[in-house]
Amino acid sequence: MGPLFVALAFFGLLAFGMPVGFAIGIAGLIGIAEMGTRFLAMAPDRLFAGLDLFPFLAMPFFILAGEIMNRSGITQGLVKLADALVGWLRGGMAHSNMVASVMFAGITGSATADAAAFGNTLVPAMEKAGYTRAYACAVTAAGSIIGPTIPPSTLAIIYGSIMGVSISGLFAAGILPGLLICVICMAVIAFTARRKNLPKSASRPSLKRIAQALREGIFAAILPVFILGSILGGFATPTEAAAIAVAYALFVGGVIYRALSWRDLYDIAVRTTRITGVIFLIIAAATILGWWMTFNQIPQMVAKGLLSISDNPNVIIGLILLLLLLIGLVMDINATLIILAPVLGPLTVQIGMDPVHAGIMIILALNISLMTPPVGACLFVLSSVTREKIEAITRELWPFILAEVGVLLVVAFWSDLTLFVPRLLGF
Amino acid sequence: ADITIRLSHLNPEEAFGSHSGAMTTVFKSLVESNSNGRIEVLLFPNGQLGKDAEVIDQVRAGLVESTISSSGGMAPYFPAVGIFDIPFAFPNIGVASQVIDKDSSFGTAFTADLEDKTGLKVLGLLDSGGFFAFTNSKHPIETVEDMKGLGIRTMTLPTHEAMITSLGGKPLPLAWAEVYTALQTGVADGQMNPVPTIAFTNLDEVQKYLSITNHIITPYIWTMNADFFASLSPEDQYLVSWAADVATDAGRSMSRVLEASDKGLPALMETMEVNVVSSEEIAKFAAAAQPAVRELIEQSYGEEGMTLLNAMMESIAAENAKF
Amino acid sequence: MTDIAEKTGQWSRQVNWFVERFCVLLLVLLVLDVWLGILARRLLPFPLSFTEELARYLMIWTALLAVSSGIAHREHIGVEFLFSRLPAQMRRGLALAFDLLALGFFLVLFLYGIGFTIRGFARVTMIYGMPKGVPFAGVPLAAALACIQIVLVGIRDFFNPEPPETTGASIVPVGEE
Ligand code: NA
Ligand code: NA
Repeated sequence: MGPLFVALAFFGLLAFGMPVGFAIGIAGLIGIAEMGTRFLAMAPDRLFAGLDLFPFLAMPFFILAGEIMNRSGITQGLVKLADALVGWLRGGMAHSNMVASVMFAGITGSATADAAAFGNTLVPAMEKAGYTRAYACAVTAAGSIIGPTIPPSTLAIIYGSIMGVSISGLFAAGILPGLLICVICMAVIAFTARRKNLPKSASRPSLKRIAQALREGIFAAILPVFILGSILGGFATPTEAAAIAVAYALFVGGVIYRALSWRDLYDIAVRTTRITGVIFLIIAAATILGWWMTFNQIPQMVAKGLLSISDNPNVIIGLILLLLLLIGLVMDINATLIILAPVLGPLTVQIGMDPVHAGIMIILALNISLMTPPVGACLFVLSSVTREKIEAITRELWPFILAEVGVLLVVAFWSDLTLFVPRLLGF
Repeated sequence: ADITIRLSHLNPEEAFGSHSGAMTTVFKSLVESNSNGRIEVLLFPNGQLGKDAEVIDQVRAGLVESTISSSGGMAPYFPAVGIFDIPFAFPNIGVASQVIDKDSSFGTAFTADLEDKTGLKVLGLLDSGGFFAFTNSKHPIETVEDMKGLGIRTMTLPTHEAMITSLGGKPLPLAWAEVYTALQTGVADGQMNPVPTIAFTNLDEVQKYLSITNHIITPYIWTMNADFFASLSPEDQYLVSWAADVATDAGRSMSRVLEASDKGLPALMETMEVNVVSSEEIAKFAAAAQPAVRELIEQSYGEEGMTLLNAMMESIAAENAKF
Repeated sequence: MTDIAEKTGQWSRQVNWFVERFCVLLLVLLVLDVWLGILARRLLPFPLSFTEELARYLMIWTALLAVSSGIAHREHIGVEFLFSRLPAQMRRGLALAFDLLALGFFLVLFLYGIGFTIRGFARVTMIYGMPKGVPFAGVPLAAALACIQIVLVGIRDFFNPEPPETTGASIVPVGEE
C-alpha cells in the first residue's frame, strides 16, 4: 500500500505540473510519515546530507563561469569561432556541441556538471546562431552523459570500489562507448538536420575569417585546455577545476575584455545562486525519497521481482537495463548504484559476463537515466539554467534517447567493443 | 518476525569481502536461527542509509537499530575516540587485538565512557582492518627524511594532519570521492589507509610504493540503540550480545585473513613496490610524530582524554610485556 | 491588480532583497574558499585543513537559502504539459493546491529542522570544533524563508485577476532578467 501511494502521489503531482523538487520531497515525506511520524526527523537530515558532497560544487561553479562568459562576451567570441569553423555545415554548432562534450568528458566525471557548464554557454551560443532553445538543450542533454562515460567517471570509481573491479579497467572500457555515443548522436543530428531546418551560414570558411574569429574566440577556445591542464598537471581535482574555470572567466571577462561592471557581477551571482537553489532542492528532496526507498529495500524488491521473470542470459541483460532505467528514474544514480550493484554484479557473473563489461553496461544505463523524462537530473539542470520547459526539451530529445539506448544495447551484447581498449592496455 | 534489527555498515555485504561483511553475516545467521526467526536482521551494507556519522544519528534517534562505524564516524559524538590517533602506539597486531576489544581492561573503560557520553549500547569493539600504511607515487618511504615534501592525503582530522606535518610531509585533506583521481593526476603524492582498504579501493592502480609503517590502528565500533536493547527480553538481550561477540571475533579474524590473503598484502605485492620500515627507523618516526599529536590530544580532549589515553598506553604496555 | 496582490508582491520582493544579498555574500565566500584551498596546497608552507569542509557548508547554505528566491520568482521547474492545457479556473485551483502542499512540505522541514539543528549542536565539525548545528541551521532557516515566500507569492497570485499560466519555469529571453 505504502509504495503504491508514494508512487501515485509523486507521478500525480508531477503530471499536473507541481515543481519537481516539491513533488519528490512530498512523495518522500508521505513515505516516511507512513512508517511513523517519528521518521519525519529524517527529512531535514537527508535534505542536508543529500547536498553534503564536495563534488557537487562543480555545478554552481560551472554555472557561474558560464554566466560570466555570457555577460562578458566570451561566449559571443565562441559563437563566431564555431561559426567560422563549422557554420557552413548544416547543424554545425550542434555537431561541435557533441565534440565539445567529448573534450569536456576528460575534465568532468559528472553529467550534471557537463549540463550546467554547457547549458549556460553553448545553449545561448546555439540560440544566437539560430537554433531553437529546446533543440540546443536536447543536444546538450544527449551529450552530457558522455562526461561520466569517458574517464574520469565518478560512477566508475564507486562501482570499482564496491565490486572490487579495476577502476582503471573501467576507465579504459568507457572510452569507446563514450565515443560511440558522440558518433551516433552526430548521426542523429545529420539525419534530421534538413528536416529540422537547422541553421547553416551562407559563406564557406575562409582562412581570413577563421583567423579573425580565432582572435576573438581564442580565450573561450583555450578554456577547456586550461582546465584540463590544471587537472592533468596535478594542480586541481576535477571539482576544483570548476573553480579554476570561474577564475579564468573572471580574468578574461574582467581584465582582458574589460566587459564586467560590479552591477554585472552582482546580477551574475544572484542568477547563479537562484539556479543552484532550484537544482539542489531537487537533488536534496530526492535524497529523502531515496532514503525511504533504501530503508524499505524497495530497489532490491523491484530487482527480485523483475529478474525472476527469466533465466535466459539475454533476457536477463535486458531486464537489468530496464531495471536500472526504471530505478534511475526516481533515485539518485550514485545511490542506485550503491544499492543495486551488489544485487546485479553477481548475476552478471552468473551469466558469464566479464566484470568490467558488466560494470560499464550498468554505468551507461544509469547515465542514460539521467536524461530520460520525466525525471532526469540533466533535464532539470538544463531546464533550470535555460528556463526552457522540460516537455519542450523532451520533444527534441526522443531521437537522441532512442539512439543512446541503441548504443546501450550494442554495449551490452557486444562485449568486444567495451573490452577492446582494456585488453589493449592489459587489464 | 516479531522484532526487526536493522544493521548498517560501511563495507560490502559479502562475508568474505570485509570484516564487517563477515560480522553482519554471522550476526544475522546466529540471531535469526537461534530465535527461530522471531528476530529478523536486515542488513544495510555499503553505507546505504547515509554517511557514517549520519547513521549513528539515526541509531540514536531509534530509526535504525544498530550500526558498525569507523572512529571517524564516532568522533563527532565521542571526540575522545581520537586517542587512537596517537601514532606508533601499538607495537604489533597481536597487542592491538588484545587491547582493542570491549572486554579488555582498557576496552571496558573505553566502552563505559562511550556509552555514557553517547547514550548508545556498545555491542563490539575491534580494529578497522589492520594498521595504516603509507602509499605514494614518488619513492619508497624508508626513513623519516623520505617523508619530506610528500603531499599525503589525510582525513580532515587535526591529529592526522599534525602527524604528517611533524614527519615533514604536507597533509592534504581531500574528499574521499576525489582521492582516486587526485592520486592519479598528482594532486596528492600519497595517502594512508589500512592494507585491505588500499587493496579494496584499487589505490594500487594509481600508487607505486607501499611502505609498511604500522603507524596507526583505529577502532571500529558496533553500537545499538540503548532503548531498543533495553526493550528486548533478558533472553533476547543475551542472544544479541552473544551473537555480536561471536560476530566480532569473526570480523577480527576476517581482517587478518583478508590482509594475509590474495585480497590484501600479497595482491598489493604484485602491483606495488612494498617495503617494511625497520624498527630502528620506526623509533625515529615515533619520536618525531608522537609529541605533537599527544599535545593535540591533551589540548582537544582534556583530562578525560588523557586518562583514557594513559589507560590505553598502560594496557598496551601490559600486553606487550607478555611477548 | 488588486490591493492585496500588490501588497504581498511587494513584501515578497522586500524579503527576497535581503535573501539575495546574503546568498551573493555566501557565494563570494565560497569561491574564495575553494581558490584558497587550491592555492594552499601548492603555495602556502602550511596546510589549510578547513577549506574542503567549509566549502560544503557554504554551498549548502547558499543553495538552500536561494530556494526561497526561486519561489519568489516562481522559478522551480515542473512538467507543465497538462497544466498549461487546463481551463483557467482549474489552473487557479491547482496552483493554490500546490502552494498549500509545498507550504506543508517546508513546514515539516522547518519544524523537524529545529530538532535536527539542536541535535547538531551536540556534534562537532572539524573546523576548529565548530558545532554541526551551525551548518544544520541552514535547513530550518531556509525552510522558514520558503514558507514566507510561498505564503506571500501564493496570496499575490491567488488574488491576481490573471489566472496562472505556469507553476514554475517560464521562458524568458536570454540575458533578460
Ligand atoms: Na569524464
Ligand atoms: Na532519469
